[in-house]
Amino acid sequence: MTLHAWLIDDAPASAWQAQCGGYYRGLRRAMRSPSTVFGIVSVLGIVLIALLAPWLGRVDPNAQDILARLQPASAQHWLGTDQLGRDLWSRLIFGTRPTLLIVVLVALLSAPMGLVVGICSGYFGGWVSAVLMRITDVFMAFPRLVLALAFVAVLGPGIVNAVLAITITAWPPYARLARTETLAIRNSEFIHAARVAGIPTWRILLGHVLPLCIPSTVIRVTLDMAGVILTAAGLGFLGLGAQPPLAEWGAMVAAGRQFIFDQWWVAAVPGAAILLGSLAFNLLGDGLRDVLDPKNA
Amino acid sequence: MDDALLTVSHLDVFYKRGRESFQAVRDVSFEVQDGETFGLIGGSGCGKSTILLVLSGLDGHWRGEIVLDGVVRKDGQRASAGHSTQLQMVFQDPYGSLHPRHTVDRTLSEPMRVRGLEHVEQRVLEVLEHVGLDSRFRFRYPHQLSGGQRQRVAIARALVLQPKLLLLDEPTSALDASVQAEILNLLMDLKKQLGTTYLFVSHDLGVIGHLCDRVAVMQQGSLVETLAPENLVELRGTHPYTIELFQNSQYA
Amino acid sequence: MPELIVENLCVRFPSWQGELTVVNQVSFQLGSERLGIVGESGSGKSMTARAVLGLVRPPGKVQADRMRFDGIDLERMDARGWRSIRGRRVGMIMQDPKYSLNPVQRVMDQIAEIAMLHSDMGKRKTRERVLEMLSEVGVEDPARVANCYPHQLSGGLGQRVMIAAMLINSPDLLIADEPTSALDVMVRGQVLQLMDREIKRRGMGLMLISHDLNTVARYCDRVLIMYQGRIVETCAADRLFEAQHPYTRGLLACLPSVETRGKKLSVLDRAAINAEMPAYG
Repeated sequence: MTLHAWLIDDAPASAWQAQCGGYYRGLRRAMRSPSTVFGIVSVLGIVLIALLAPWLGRVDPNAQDILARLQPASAQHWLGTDQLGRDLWSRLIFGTRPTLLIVVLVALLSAPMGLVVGICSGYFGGWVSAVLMRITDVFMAFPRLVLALAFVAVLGPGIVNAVLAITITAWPPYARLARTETLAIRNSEFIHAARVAGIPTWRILLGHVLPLCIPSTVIRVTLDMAGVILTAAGLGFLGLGAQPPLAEWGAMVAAGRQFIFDQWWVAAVPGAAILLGSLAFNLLGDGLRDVLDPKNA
Repeated sequence: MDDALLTVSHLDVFYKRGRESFQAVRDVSFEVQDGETFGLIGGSGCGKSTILLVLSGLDGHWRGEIVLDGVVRKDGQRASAGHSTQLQMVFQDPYGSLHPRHTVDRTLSEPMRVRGLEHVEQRVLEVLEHVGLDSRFRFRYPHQLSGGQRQRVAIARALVLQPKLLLLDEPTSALDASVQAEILNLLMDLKKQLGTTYLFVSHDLGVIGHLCDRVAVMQQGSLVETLAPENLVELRGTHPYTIELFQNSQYA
Repeated sequence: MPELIVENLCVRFPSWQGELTVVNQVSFQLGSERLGIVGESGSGKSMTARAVLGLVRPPGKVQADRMRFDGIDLERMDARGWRSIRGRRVGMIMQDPKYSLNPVQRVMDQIAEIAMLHSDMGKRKTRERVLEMLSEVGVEDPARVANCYPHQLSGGLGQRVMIAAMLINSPDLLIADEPTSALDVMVRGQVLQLMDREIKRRGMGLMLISHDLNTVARYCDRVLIMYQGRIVETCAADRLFEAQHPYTRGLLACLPSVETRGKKLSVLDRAAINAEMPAYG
């Protein structure tokens, strides 16, 4: 039996095979849309670049060469150099690392937090919901960047603090989303059936409600990644995120700002990277929406 | 009568919508004998499904007394942990009553696993066979099943815990006539094999007449009369609503 | 009387296993009579009605040798052409009034809008006509109902309103797709009787789509039985219970009732039916 036949088998012999078949069908659906493929390839590309940075970067991103500052693109410096004569290509490649780190950490911290708050609020209703949702409202009412700024100002600048600041402002929408989904799921017959079958509440929440809330949250998180990259870049730009000499795209744009008219590439190169990164995550999110939408299952 | 499996006395159920309170069920009393098929019939919104929700423990806003197999519940009291082995329910919509992301195997085995029962795998295969599905269906997802197959899985889930009483909430009204016939035959076969007591809710007089020993007619939250088998066979009601219901059923 | 002529209608949908033929070479004619189309879900009965009204959404493809209503070619119809047909010459009643009535518009405004689209009656006159129409369809308190929003109406009342809206332009043909299956048993008969009475009175044509053989036998003159997208049998409604095709016989035999108590219901023998099906298409 070929792998394909095993995967699309209508009568799977084990739970494992059924699971793989589900993933396989999703993957095939994703591959039908060119923009999704572009999103997947770009995001994978960024991840690969981050992993292979020492080999791709050619030179140390922090090696200064005052004699060769602000040079345009050349055979030696593919994308030119910045105000301290550092190789922009190298800094761009190494810049994927803090950016991805921030994106991944924010996603890993804020999505579970939003899910827990949202699902509990939606499932239990009543005063639990009222309390949790008012807290969510409070956090939602703050302008995102301003709250992050205040937070970083208190804790001091740095990548970890930037992540915390962004997380604190990022989770409320996920809580809202999960709550809405849970409200609809809570009254469905399969939840009633599970309750009648005597399945304990925590198992219903984890095994029955959560799996149905995850797709929409994953989609939303992926779409928000673009925003997170921009916020991280914004914090970097304001000098509150990654600290010099660490190569970070936002900080690089900020540094290039002074030379934007004469040596435009210093700001444009990391700017284009930010643009591409956000676009890739956006397209991936769109594609995931098509794949994970239960209506297509 | 002392061999009643289920006794419901003076059941009132309330719903709150905003500040208004609405009484869905009014002073309903009936008994279901061990081993019989008891029907509840009535138009939409008459409270028949609400009674099932209360019996299954999904609804807490009620007053009255429910005695199921000797266990007494009063005035909105929650069901105890052993409740689910006494009573199980099959829902109306085969498309909505199975978790879309759980395989048939998980749907059937989870109620047993949470109870720490043994030989789960063997039992899953056994129940699947009972409901006429072979083992090829075991690891399928609901979207790979037809409506009739889903309802068979739902019946299998209700049977894994070997309940004494099975609540059936219009289990065939969302199915095509030919599939309905298959499910009704299955329910009759299972009854012969397992001796489970059925409480069958429906608006379809044909289904009720085919399956039930006794039937209670409901109108706007109240139980207007209970028909004995001989009256059911001849569609002979005494209450005006029953007579009207029987007449209408022949015109629709 | 204008006539609906359908010849070799096919509706196809692309799927990942190739094209799926949902309606397969369906032909029928319908004049001033009551035609029933029966079948189980997936038999293509609703899709046939949608195709006639040009309501098959892409990527579905409709194809027919001939599809004419009153001499008008329905296959080559543009959006404006459809507007002059739907609602005006052909009315359609869907399964659930909850979804076919606009939830944010009062009953009066909805029906009046439909009436004004196709006639140049004044506003005042139209409103009078709407109230008249509502009382014709058996609404006891037309003025009150006209002032209601759809969610304030019961299912039966909603369907009456729907019928009134569809009849106000005196169409020649009414297409009713499972008009009562979302309704309470107690009002099903009433709604069907009302529909029947109005159709007879106006000498209109009716296409009644249903899964229920008894309903169709009672309220139609002629019945088409569909299975897997094809018409397997055509017969007069009063002879429906003497039908020959194994599928029709199977459908008739599997209905439960007090007479079948204690007996096993007979079940469709799908293999035998498929063997009888013609192998074309």
